[in-house]
Amino acid sequence: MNVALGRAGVTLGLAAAVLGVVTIGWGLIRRKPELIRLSRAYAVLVFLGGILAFVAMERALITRDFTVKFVYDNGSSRTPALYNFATLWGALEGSIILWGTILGGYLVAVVVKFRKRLEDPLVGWAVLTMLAVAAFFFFLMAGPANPFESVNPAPGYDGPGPNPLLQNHPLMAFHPPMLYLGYVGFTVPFAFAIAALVTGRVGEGWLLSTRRWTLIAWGFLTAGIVLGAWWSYEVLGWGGYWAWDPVENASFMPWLTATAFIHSVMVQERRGMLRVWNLSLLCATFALTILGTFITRSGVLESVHAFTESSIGPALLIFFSLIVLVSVGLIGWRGDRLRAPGRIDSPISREGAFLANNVLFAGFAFVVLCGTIFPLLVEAVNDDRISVGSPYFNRMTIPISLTLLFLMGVAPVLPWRKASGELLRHRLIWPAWVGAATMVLGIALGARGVAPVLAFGLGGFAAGSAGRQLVLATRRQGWRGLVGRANGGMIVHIGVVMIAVAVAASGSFVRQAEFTLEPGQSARFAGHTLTYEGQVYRDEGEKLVNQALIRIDGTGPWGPSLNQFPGGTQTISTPSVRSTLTDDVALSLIKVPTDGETAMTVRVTIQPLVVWLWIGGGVMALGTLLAVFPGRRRNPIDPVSAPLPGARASSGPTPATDGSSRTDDPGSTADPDDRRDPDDRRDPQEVPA
Amino acid sequence: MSAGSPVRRWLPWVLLAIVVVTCLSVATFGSRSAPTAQDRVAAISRTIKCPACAGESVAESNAPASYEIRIDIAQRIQAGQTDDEIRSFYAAKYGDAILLTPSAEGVNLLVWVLPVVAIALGFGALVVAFRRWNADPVAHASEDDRVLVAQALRQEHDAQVADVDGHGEGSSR
Amino acid sequence: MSVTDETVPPDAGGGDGGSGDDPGAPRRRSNAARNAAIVVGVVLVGLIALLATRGTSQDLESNIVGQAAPDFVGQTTDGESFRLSAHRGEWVLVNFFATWCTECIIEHPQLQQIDQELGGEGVQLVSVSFSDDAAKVRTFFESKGDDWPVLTEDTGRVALDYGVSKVPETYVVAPSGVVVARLIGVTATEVEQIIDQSGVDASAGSGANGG
Repeated sequence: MNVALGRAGVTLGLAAAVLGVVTIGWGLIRRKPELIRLSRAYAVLVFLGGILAFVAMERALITRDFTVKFVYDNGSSRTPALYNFATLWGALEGSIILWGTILGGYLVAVVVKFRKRLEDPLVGWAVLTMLAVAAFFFFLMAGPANPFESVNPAPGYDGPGPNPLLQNHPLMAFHPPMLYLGYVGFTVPFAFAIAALVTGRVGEGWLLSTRRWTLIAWGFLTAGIVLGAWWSYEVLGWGGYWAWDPVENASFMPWLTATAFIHSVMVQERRGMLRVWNLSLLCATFALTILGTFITRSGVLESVHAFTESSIGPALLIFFSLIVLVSVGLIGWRGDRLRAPGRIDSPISREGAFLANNVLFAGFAFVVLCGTIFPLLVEAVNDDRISVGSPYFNRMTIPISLTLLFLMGVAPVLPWRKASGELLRHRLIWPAWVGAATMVLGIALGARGVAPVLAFGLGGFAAGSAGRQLVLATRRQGWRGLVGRANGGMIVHIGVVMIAVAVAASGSFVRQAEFTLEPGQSARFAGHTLTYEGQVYRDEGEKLVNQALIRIDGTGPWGPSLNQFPGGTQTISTPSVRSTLTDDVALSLIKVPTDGETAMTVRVTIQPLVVWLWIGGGVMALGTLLAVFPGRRRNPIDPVSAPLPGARASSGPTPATDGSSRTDDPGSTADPDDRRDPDDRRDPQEVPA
Repeated sequence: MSAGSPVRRWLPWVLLAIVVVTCLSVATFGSRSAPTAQDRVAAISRTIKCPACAGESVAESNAPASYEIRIDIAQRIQAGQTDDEIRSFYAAKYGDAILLTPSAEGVNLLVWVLPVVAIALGFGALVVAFRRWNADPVAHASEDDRVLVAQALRQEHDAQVADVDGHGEGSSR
Repeated sequence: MSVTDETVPPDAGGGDGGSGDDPGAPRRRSNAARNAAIVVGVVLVGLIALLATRGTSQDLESNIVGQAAPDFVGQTTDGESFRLSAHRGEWVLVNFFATWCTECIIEHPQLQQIDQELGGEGVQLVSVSFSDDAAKVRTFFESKGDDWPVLTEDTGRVALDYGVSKVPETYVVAPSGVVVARLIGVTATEVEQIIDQSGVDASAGSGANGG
């Protein structure tokens, strides 16, 4: 029953996607609007197929229908409800269902949002591209990664359950869906980029249509990554949250290129420049999500997060090649149209800062890519085995991150076009003093070392300048000063600063040690007292829990445990963390007393400010939400520059309405520096009749 | 923006520079408690790969091999070995792949150099671009352009006037 | 920039809601984008080829095969002393194991077979516990009734000297004192094969081939 339902869903999705590509493609080439309009139906059908497959699988999991191979392999009657539900994305085949369903959802959202423009070739090609991507994922479900294979279980069979690491923390229910909403969300801007290239309408129209979609996808990806780090911290039990593992890197690379894009896109909107670059960033972001899935699933690179290896590696690699080929080919083909006239007046300007930002983000992504695949390269060249791990990544990325923090402090106060020294001195003095104060505070609290102290100072600087913008904007616009892309963006910046400071503090001032304690015995470490009270052993059904009760500075008891899951020989260590706003004490059990003994060994990791990572992640998500929230319909008031008395914001809802690069930027008229040639003929317009 | 004397204008910045330089020199040269043996164990084990796990360092992993290596590192530190000696011992036993920091020799040099070169090239390209943009004189509107703009504006204006006229008021001119 | 060179490309006509698409840029450009695309394309093809030709990654392996076997000395569970170098001239199997390791328990009968069949032919078996409890190991071996030397004290260091990453691992030390093989899941036939191939008679005595 479930198998039939699921297969029906997969078939429906695959058929709708393939037919949709053919029909819409035919309609676009032959200019038959009635065919193109069918995209709505196909989108809905693909979504329906995905939902059917999803429901069938969840039903099979909940009813423990072991005739479904996926449930046979990953389900278990002992798994608690939440983890049982989350098992769907705990293994490869199920996660593809989630992917397909989310993609279907985005497809429907696109055809609904653009319902009035479905016949527009730009939208048509975009939907076609999305359908093609959907066709690939439903093909995976139909063939190489079929979740609905049926098996004949022996009577009374009970499955092994999901990987123990995946049923150890409730975050598992949220982290993968968030990540997938982000990954899949980038299909939308990618599809529009491809459509723009195919139709030759490479101007700014498609950008404006998709920028909110990009922001939403970026927000989800950010949330997914932060939740993933949190999950690592709470589950893997080594007191860390980010290990530069290939799978972590795979999710981080598209984030970096997407972040570069959401900054550089503003240059294109204002100045019409950087078209090739922006298109490349979008294509790269999408291609990197697929490459990331390949790395996660193929087993080429080893990773703690690669929970299943499977045979879909080649299919993903072929799809990745196809994306790369199509993107690079189209950009090359449209190269002549992509050249935009225009110039940037001064490096000391908003645009100049965005350019530097992009070099740094692209360089950051390159470092991550290089470090991740370098072992493969070396093995291919001279058959040596080497590892590239966190020491490398830290050393390479710390200078880049510090420079980015500096830019984050300067850029928001920079006006477009160019800035005078006087203006900078005026606008930067307070943020700079905030930064200096943070530095002094850090030093006073005992922070030493150039990198962390610089990170504190630059973080304070960046937060100061984001705060300044927000204060100015709210003073002028009330609560509206917190919404819209520019203002929401400043809130995101504050979140980033929190994370940067937390990373610098926790990474630089981590203290770690192992203690073997008898019951009643205490140990002092880094200003905290640990007292071992005793051991608890219990059977929780799905796992055997061997817990040590430990008091930290008299609070608690905290209970790190070693869990034994039946069916797995692995013992999973679940840490217990006492979080406060200033520092985290993480306990992770290394050895429990065995027969005859009473001493246990516990690893203590003390890191300052860790909790600000999660708070910062929340602030980033909130900021993204506010940035997506429609700002004022008028020219988003640039909090950067005071309005000229008497100068009116020029017509149109968005700065780029007159679109093409050849007009002088209408949005920047509010900048005093910009008015170099006031045209007196405008006067009649300004005088009300 | 004030039109004060240069001293008044620059004073806050000079003070700021003094504060920052002071902080950074304290951060660099200030007395730091010497790392304890435990700190050293933690630091070294973060640079050594767990031989039995997928992509985790000895510090991160809970595998028995990592546990043994952490104990061994502690013993070696007690025996007075330097960090590098300890690392090269493991490299001799397990191959260079156990070190998470690739050496800067041979092909491995590339992983250190390539990103730096790429970023330098990126900034180099920016410098070149800005040079070119600056060499390009600001494109002032030509006479033709002015005529065109004037024409367009006049049309718009006329239309506006016509619109106003349509509402029954007299000519505003 | 004059407005006159506006050439609307034929396919750009569709209503874009007036949101300002580029009406077509002049066509006199160099092909910088195309050239860049070609370069990027070539690099990416290389990347794809690299990814396509790599097998799955494996665990780290000991580097010690082919090198002189690190000597070790320790007290066996029987209270006797065992020194590896004292067995120069014999084949020695150094077996690393733990009682918490399922594969080791599966492997155990093979070890018993080796001890019985080859023990008399100049093959010495020694087991070294790995990250395990001495008492547990003793009980384990007593329950099996085995009597080859088993080391339990301070064995982590020995294991790391051999580059052990996961138990069970067995290192075959030739009479010359050189490690000739690293076996995971040892069998008697495999050991016999290695001895046969080496051409060194197991009972031939010491110093036959210097290493």
